[in-house]
Amino acid sequence: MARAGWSDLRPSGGAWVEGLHKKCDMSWEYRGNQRYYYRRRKVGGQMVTEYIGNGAVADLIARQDEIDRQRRAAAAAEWQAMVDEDNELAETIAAAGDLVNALTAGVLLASGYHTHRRQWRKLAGKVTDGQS
Amino acid sequence: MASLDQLVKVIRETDTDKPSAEAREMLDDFLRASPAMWRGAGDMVEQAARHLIKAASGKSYAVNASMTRGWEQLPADLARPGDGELERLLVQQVVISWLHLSYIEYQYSAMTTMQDITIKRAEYWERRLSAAQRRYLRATETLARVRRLQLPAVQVNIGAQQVNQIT
Repeated sequence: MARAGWSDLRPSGGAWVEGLHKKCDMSWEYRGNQRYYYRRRKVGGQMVTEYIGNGAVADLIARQDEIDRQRRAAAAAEWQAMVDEDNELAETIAAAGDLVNALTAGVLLASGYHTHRRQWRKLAGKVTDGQS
Repeated sequence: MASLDQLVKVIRETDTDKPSAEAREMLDDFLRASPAMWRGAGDMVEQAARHLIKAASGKSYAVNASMTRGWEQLPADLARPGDGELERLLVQQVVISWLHLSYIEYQYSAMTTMQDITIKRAEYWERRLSAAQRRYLRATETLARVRRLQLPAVQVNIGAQQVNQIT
């Protein structure tokens, strides 16, 4: 249960997690009347917990961490939006290219050429185009 | 309108050492009797170019106007007298590939000069840059190949007009 005066310091979106001997609010751990701030991060696939401290200094660090987290989340969302837009653009260009390439191949075939080892050749067998 | 899948299927059946007369006839019919396919290809390239210009210029009217002007002018500069429908499409393909490459080069250069660029993001733009370069190279090679082969005229009816694909 959250203690009076602390609830306003909970990071936004923080969820209470019931443990066997402790309560965790994101990176806060509560023992007795004290709460302790930890940073948790993945290092080489393993979760590493780093003790930061308690009291007013830990509150300030936690707030700064929350601001950093929100900033990173906003940057990640912005990046993802840019990637999505870029993918959509690339797909539009590729689709147009596929159709033009298919029509080119169709016209070459209709004109008596065929591909041999990715080279266009006259059906008679004479190499007419050295480019692949 | 005949689909790209149908065209690819017909191409596969025709692209052999000894294509059957039936397959060749099917391809001829497909190319001549599918003006919507040619119109569709032109529309798709045009649509892709507008999409690209919008994405690249953002809210800048000047960049938009400059790129639009380039998109309209460059195909005229690359055109040759007697170009047919296929060459016109291939020229558009070269121009759009070049515009896309320029856009990616700009993005790549802007991103890689940022202080906090991550390796993952730099790699993303390098992959994009390589793909755009390959597409541009392929487009120029295809245009050069078709022009070098000097294919005989194949006619296709687009609307009321009879247009030479290849001259």
